[in-house]
Amino acid sequence: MKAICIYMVAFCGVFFGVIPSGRGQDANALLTSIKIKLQQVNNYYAEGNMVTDVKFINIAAAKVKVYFRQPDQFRIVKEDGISILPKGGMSIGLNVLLSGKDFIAVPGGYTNVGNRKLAILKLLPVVENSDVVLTTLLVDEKTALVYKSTTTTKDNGTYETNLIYGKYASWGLPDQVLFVFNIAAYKLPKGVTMEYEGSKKANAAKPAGDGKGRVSITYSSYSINKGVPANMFK
Amino acid sequence: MWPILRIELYKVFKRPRTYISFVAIGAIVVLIQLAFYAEGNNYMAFGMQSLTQTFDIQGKVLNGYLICFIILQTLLIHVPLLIALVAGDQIAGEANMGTLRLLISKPVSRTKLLLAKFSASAFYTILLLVWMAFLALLVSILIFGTGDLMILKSEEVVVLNKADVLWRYFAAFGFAAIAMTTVAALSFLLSIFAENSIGPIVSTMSVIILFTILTTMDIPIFNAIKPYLFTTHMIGWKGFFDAPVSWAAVLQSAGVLVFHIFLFLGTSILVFNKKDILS
Repeated sequence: MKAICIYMVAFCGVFFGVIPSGRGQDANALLTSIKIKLQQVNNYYAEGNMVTDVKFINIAAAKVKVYFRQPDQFRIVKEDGISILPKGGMSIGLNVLLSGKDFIAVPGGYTNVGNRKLAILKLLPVVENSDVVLTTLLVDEKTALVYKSTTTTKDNGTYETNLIYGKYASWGLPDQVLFVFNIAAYKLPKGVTMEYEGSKKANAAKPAGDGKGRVSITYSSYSINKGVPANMFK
Repeated sequence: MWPILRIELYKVFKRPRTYISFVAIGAIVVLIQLAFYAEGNNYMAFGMQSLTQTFDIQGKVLNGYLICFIILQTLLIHVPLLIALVAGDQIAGEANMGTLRLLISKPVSRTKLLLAKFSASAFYTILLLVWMAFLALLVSILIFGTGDLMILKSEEVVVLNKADVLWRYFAAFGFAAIAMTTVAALSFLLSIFAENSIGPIVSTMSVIILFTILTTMDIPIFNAIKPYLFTTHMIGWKGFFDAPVSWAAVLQSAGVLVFHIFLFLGTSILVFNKKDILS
């Protein structure tokens, strides 16, 4: 009888959160270690090459400059040129997604990506009016590096970010970012001016695509914590 | 040939009506530039509304290259009227003034006379386009600067690199010269059948408006005849703003237009050589 009572108390404790679960603690600790890593970077300026692969956007790969300042100022600039990024594209910079924001971290188990065992971390924003509804991170627990994030937003749909690390891994900054977003629902408005039949035929010959748009940035260099002027973000 | 051409050019550029076109184009281009200078950003925000709901667009979208594209798109529909004003007057104007009979009594073959008159019309057409290029491209660049060119089409948004734009404009103006010479050739042909220049000018515009409506309407029965209408190919200059350029389609369109020039001019020579000139 005594053993049954102890078992019942222990069960209630775990179920109702009286006794904190070991997994919950791990999730928060993991999120904290990710944030600590990202907070090493107060600001950065990076140069890279941006490739846009969206079915209805025909834009050549271009050299871009990327600016970041804590907590969430982020800007991609194409010198003397035009850049088109999906709304919510700010999460191309992981710092922007996580810095200065409070989340409830929920563990989601583990998954294998390639040869790497990654922890699944689900983040629920504490702020009620946040555009982000849910963020799922795939994190290497040893290095606290995020390899993939999937973010569901209220206004801008769901998008995912895949990150590849190299020489700036110790700062938590990727060498390459692949940003994937949904474009299936997007339709360009019908033009009111006459369109050339030859262009229409060339367009019709293009492959249909998978309903997703992709923007990738391959960074060639970072200049970290050397200051970025505030007017860069105006 | 050159002395006759010089005389014909003198006649064309002596008439005040020739300069109406230059003034009209100048006024329209300046008005468009002024409007964009004052309210361009609002216009762009409105025009790109659907795109900016989903995408963040950064950079200088409103620049000289875009203004030139907008001007070309707007004006190349109206320029045929200005071309017809001169080309449609070449033979009919002489008939109206009663000088045609006198003219063909000179020791110059009718074919040579027609070729000289048509060459004068083509020269005027090219000069008008050069004037348009100067105002629309050069002045726009001076006012608005340069940058990447973003074009919104029904099926895609094309962003052309700044360094990759200028040659496209030269090619587009070259193509426009062929397209407008086709209009001149049509007007010239119609001029042979008329006793005053209003007939060929109105007829040319009527043909272009009718064909353009057929070209624009996306109805299956009209789609079958679209490839055979020269108006379908007149907007081939836009093909230079595809990335990559649809060379096959653009060259085919240029070929169709050149064929029409020869067809209209050949018919003009044939008809004029057999025509009993009474006026």
